[in-house]
Amino acid sequence: MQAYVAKRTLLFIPTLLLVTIVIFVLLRIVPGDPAVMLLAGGEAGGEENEYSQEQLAELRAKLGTDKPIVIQYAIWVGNMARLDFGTSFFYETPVAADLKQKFPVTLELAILATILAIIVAVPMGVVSAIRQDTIADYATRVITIAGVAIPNFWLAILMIFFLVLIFGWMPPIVYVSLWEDPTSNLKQLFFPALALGFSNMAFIARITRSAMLEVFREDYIRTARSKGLREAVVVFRHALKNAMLPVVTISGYEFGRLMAGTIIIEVIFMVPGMGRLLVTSIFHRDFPMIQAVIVLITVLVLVLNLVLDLFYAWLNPRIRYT
Amino acid sequence: MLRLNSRNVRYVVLGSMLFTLLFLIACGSAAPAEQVVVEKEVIKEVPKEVVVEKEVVKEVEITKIVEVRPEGMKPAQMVAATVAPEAKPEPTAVPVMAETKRGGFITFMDYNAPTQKAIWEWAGSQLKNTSPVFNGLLEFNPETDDPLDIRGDLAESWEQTGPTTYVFYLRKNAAWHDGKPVTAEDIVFSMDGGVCADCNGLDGIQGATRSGAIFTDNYYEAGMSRAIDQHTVEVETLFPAPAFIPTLSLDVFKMLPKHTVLGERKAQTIKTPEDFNGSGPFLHKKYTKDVQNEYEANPNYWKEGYPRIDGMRHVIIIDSASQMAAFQTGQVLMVNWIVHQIGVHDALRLQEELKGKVDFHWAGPILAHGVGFNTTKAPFDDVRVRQAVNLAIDRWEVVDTLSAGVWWMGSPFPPDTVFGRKTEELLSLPGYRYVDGSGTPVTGSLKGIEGLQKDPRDLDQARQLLAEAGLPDGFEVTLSARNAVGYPDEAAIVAEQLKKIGIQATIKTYESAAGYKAYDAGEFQFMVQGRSLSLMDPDVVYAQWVNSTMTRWGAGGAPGANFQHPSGFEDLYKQQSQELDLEKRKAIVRQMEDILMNEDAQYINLFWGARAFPVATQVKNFHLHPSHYMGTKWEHLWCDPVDACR
Repeated sequence: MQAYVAKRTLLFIPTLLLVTIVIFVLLRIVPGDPAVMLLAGGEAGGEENEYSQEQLAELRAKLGTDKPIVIQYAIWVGNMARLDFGTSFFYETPVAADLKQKFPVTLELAILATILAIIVAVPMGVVSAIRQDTIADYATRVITIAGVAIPNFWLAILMIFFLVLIFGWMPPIVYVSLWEDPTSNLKQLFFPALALGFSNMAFIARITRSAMLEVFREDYIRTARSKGLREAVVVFRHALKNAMLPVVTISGYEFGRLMAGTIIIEVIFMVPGMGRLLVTSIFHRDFPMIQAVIVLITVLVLVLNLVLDLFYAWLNPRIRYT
Repeated sequence: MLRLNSRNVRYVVLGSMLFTLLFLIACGSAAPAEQVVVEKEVIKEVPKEVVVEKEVVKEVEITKIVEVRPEGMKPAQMVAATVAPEAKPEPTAVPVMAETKRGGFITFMDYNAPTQKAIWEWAGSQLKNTSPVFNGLLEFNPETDDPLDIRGDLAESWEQTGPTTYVFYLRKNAAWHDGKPVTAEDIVFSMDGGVCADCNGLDGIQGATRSGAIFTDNYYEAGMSRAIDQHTVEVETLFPAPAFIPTLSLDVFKMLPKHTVLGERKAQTIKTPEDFNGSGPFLHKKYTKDVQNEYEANPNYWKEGYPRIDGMRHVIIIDSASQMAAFQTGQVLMVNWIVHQIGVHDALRLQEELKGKVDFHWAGPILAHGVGFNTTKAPFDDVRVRQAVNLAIDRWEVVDTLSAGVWWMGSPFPPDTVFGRKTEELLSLPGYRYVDGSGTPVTGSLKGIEGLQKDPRDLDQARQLLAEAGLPDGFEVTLSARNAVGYPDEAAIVAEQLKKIGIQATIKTYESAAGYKAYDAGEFQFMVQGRSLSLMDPDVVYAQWVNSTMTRWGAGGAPGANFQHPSGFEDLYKQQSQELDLEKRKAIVRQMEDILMNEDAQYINLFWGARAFPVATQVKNFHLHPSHYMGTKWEHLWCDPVDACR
């Protein structure tokens, strides 16, 4: 087990390094000079300002984008190793301070989305499995296929549209933290979490259904039934417990995806988390901010995968011995 | 068959209950109830505004300028800064509304997080959030519908004592938020700092230096003002400049406290709002990044009776669907700036839908979009080819398609303004002529005319010019457009129109920043590009054709390159800039417009645009100003009923 842990942990480092190189190079390859964006403005329909070449050169020097790309990378990675993510080009504030402020918001949204997804998906998957090929099953399958197919940003826009159209209401526009005012916080985050978690819900429901169907065919289920146990006991005590292992694992992996998937949802629902920060930073070509957000999400996904892999290995010895 | 007993079902029920509970919490009924109240109360009261002029404390010799407004023109379509072309402008008084109401809290919609730019930068993206905290020396009067009206802000009055000399008399009770008086020294410091980032030790203050200067630096240089006494400042200009007073009156030119900026080394930027020490009607309470800016009324504000509201917040919403939903649900009452992401067609739809709840004002002309040529590359190195494009473009089709006829056709100077031509006259000129279904020339409004089309004479003339240029069969060309502000749509319309004279334009779209890079490198033949307009003054409007990024791109894009009109346009620009006689200035401006229309234009306007400015009906005393940089201090707004503003 120790060798497995060491192997998995060491793999973490080259993966992270590769991600830093890819994101750094990609940002420089994609056309768009942050100095020009800062001087000219014009984002989001704003005013477009005049600027001189001298101002441009001066700003490039100030931002450090006039240096060779290798030097820029070395400086960035070196600073990051000391947990210094640099200063935002656009906001001119320390990137780390922004991440500290935004990360909990996104984390809360992702947790809420996961909770909502599981609360809905597991019963749905169970009912679909035990009522296989009935109307309930077909309905569940239609909903889950739709859930997997519909992009969450579109669902979010539809939600707002219908909330306004039918109820003349939309979630509060001013974000309040959970600790400050839990009710207002939930009012604001419920619908974004629902939009965000919808595809997760669909996916988990499908996994639950197929896992349940698979377990139902196992010998021990037949044995349980032949012992004369009530069907509910068979389902909940014997089948569901065993079917939950892949569901829990998938939910864990999906959580990492959710963290990265909050981008557009946060913009639409005015949630001031990392996703929204990333979008505005991309518009402004705010390299230090974009890089830091992506690295943070990458680290999070890697850590989550590592933990889940280790957890799985602990549960299932066949994995750690292969 | 599955049999569930109550013991096992409880998990399913518990889950469902938890979900329902969360749903109920999330859908709490407070907000819709608030909206209903707003709607009811707005309908029942209409306030009367009684304007009473305050006594002007210091009498000065003045010459009142009477501007004749073109017949039938709406005030909002009038231009703001064509004032003060003569020697002695009138110091207008601060009106007092007799039936104003006090209290209330206004929630504004803010289109984007504030930029960290220095306060004197020509950037509305910071101005919208800093303006309520500071005052200017003068201001465009936000309490009248007359956009030509300039009044004192920190200055109680002013006079022009010579062609290039102005004396400003400050309000004696004006004070900074820290209680210290606003003095002539502060004004001198701000005048210099506003035009010179490196003067007065400003370059050593983090955040005070800036990347762009404000327009006043065309007329004023650091060191040209002096304090006569504690409350009197004398200012010299470089030359007699009719646009000096208007540019000084824009919200972008704020006065800052010398003792705070230089003494305490605190730059007044939104980056460190806790350092703010303005003199304005509001105190900046808190900036929650990417969420909102909160303000509270300055309890010691030196203008009696101002501000009328208790406070406000500027909530940042960057998605257009959410912006519209915020208005539909009454969660925001107005925008805090002209710029936002709600497009013209959506705004027109909302205008209908929210009639009686939200008034939609249309601010403009405040932006110009057009076609710019690279005159160093064939075929647009030939002026005849550029003229042919100018003649062939159907501007009304652009306006009608993109704005349902709300915008104006793109003549060089905005039509129906003090310096611009009347639309009727414009419609008789080559490039702007139209005929109806029967072939009769149209001389009035183009809206809703059956069979409207471009006058065939314009197209014939365009073809003839191409033939003279050796391109009788037209040519293939690339039309560039940055993927921003609607440029690709405009490019598509233009490309289609040019087919009529044989020009086959392939559209090349760029990601926004990449487009700038290509243009800087001269890698384009012609492009669709626009700009915003801060002030409707010939100095500002025609700067586009004199020494701008556009003229640099037109000359190939290299640093220092600048397209020069062979017809003396630049000389006329200088001449009009110093002409104090309004009529003479108008004549020069007309001459310049003729050059751009008929002789040699490196850039041709497609349209003059307007933006919607939604304001809830319970917000009173809002008067639209057609600029990005006017009337953003909000001290004059009040709510009726007060309870409808929360």
